[in-house]
Amino acid sequence: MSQALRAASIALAAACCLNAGCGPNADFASATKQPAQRIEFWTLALAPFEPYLRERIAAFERIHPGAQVVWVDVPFEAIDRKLTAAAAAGRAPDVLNLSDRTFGRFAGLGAMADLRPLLEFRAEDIYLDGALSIGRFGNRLLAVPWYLTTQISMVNAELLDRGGLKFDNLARDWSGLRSQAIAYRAKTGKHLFSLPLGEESQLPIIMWAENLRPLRPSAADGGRLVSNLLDERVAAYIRGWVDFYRSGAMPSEAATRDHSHLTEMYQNRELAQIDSGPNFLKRVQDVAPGVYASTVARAPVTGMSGKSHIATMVVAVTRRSRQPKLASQFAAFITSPESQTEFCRLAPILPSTPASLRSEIFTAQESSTDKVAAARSIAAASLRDAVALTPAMEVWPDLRRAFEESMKRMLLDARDTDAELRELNDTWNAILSEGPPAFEECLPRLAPGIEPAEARP
Amino acid sequence: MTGRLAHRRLTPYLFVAPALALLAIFVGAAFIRVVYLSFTHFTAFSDAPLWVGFSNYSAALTSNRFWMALLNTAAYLLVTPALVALSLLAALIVHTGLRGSGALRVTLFLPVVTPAIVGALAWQLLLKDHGLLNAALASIGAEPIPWLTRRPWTLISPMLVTLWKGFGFYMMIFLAGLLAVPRELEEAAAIDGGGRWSIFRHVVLPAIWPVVVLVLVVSSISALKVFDEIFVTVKGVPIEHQTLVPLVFNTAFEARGGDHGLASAIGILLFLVILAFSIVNLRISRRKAAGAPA
Repeated sequence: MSQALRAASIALAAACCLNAGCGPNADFASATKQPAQRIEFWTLALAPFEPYLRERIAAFERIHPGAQVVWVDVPFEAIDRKLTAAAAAGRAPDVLNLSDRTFGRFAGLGAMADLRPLLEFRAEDIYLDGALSIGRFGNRLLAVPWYLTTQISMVNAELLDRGGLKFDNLARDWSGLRSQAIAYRAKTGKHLFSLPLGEESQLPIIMWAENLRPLRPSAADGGRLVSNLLDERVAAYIRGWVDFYRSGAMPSEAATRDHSHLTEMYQNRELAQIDSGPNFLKRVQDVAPGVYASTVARAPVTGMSGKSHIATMVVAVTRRSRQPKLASQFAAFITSPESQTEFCRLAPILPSTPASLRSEIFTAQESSTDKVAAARSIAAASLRDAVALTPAMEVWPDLRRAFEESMKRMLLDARDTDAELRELNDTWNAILSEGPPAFEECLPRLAPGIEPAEARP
Repeated sequence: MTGRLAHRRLTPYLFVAPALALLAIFVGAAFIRVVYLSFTHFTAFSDAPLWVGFSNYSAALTSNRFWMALLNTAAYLLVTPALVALSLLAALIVHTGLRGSGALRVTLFLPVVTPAIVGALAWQLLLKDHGLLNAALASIGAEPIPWLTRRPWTLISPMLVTLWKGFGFYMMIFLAGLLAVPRELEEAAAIDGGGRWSIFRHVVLPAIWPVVVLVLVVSSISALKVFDEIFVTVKGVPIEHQTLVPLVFNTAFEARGGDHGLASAIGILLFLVILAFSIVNLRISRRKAAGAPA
């Protein structure tokens, strides 16, 4: 045997030994210990609540002997890519926590299982109707609601003062804020507020709160929804925002960056007002104590309807799950009133079950002097004027994406607004005609609010 | 005798076999799958790829986005000459052996070992509306530049990151080439009355020409495949402002439906562009090398 072959044989033998120690055998050893039923559960940026989630998973595993829940936390901004890549590789998780926006996209792709035949109870008996509507697609229920986050308005009183504005005089609706922002910019060189207009545009949501309808049922098409972007009021509204952006009263990042640009700018004293979740105040307290000291919280900015948007986190079961029954049981368990009430004690969130909403957590903090607790109280109180402004239709994420791309061209490439709107209108109609038919009942209902009267604190 | 000869012939193949096996699995198999997917309609949640023939290719080639991205990719190649010139200049300075050239070499190489994402994020802070560069411009009374939002700055900004990140690496390659140039040749040319520029042009440059070709080809291919710098620095700008690889990413993971078939087709078209470009680049460079004065 030549030296080279001998060396190769030794290397091969060494590799086999290594494999025997920590390779397939190790896998085999763990595989033999695997429980009969294993499900994977992905959450969205919930790593800070690891003890809570571990405790809940352990409780579920106690109730379901032989079940094992593998928990994976995924960063908020990476969920789309990670889920798409995992699904393409045939390794999608069984149970998924998604935001209403991301959920719509994957529901539209047929990624979620219908929970109606899997759940052992009537979802309408457990969850708030407004929150449940996000997961309802016709007769199917593709997700159950988990926790809700309403925004509150945070105002840097010191910055406001520099622009000659007082807290009490600051407008509480978007059109009023826009009027004040131009003068504020001229006086201070800073921005009064900002809003994502291009990337993750908030306009398709805000329009509903402004009593505008970017979609309308077509009588000629049996009530099927069609684009209403060329409606005089809708077009004028969009044009107004484009002109406002072009005037320079908004930071340029409003066209290209999502909500994160608001939080960065507010912390850096470049924005006087921000609408965000109440937990953001805690972050300001940690990273910018000076800004925290001059921050005052108030109810969120609303549209003409007086309503604001409520973001709903949902839990869904993927269509390709090998354990759909167990996965749906886990989805029901983690979103149960008991689990949600416990979660609300730990995090500045709101529950999606009336039972949890009756908890003392949402009534005891009204008089709190702690700003974060007070902010959470304001958020809870604003529930009665909050509505899920996301249409429950498979193609809504596609409509939003087309809208965002079009907005970016209008804002950044100085494209003619009317021509761009006409193109966008055609694109929307093409998307709507290619997708499953959607009707009036898919659209956000501005009244009643998300919270049933009897559940209010 | 014959057995020993056979062993001698086999030995090199045994050594490269593990690397070839890895390449076959992680590059070859992946490439074949992408070629297959490019002829199918396939999303992450499709049950199985559906054969659609050349329709992905025709969709890509008739799409305005593809041509815009290709145009932007071609424009991005402008970074290559700047990269070659700067790295060669830096290598020449470091090669002089002046005091502090060792420290300079380390400093210039630092961006290479900095992760691309970290570098791009740092540049984003420099280039944003209220960033340091605009503050510097304001201090001399100049208008701020919308580095991260408006054309052509949305292409120039990632180019700056590519330049900053790449030139230290290419400097080291040039430095290796310069060290291989025999000193006697330069000394002989100096004795014959050659000036610095003349010696560089007629002695050093022809000697390191193969290195210049290598750097040109490698940096051009990198420029054609640019992704990190664009994805981080100007994320959020319209896709029409971006190059081909971000378009592939957008098509596969972000755009409507997550179309892996169309994304694969665009990827294959990009591969063909790079292949053609590299062949042409090599031929021109070799022809020039053959005709270059010795």
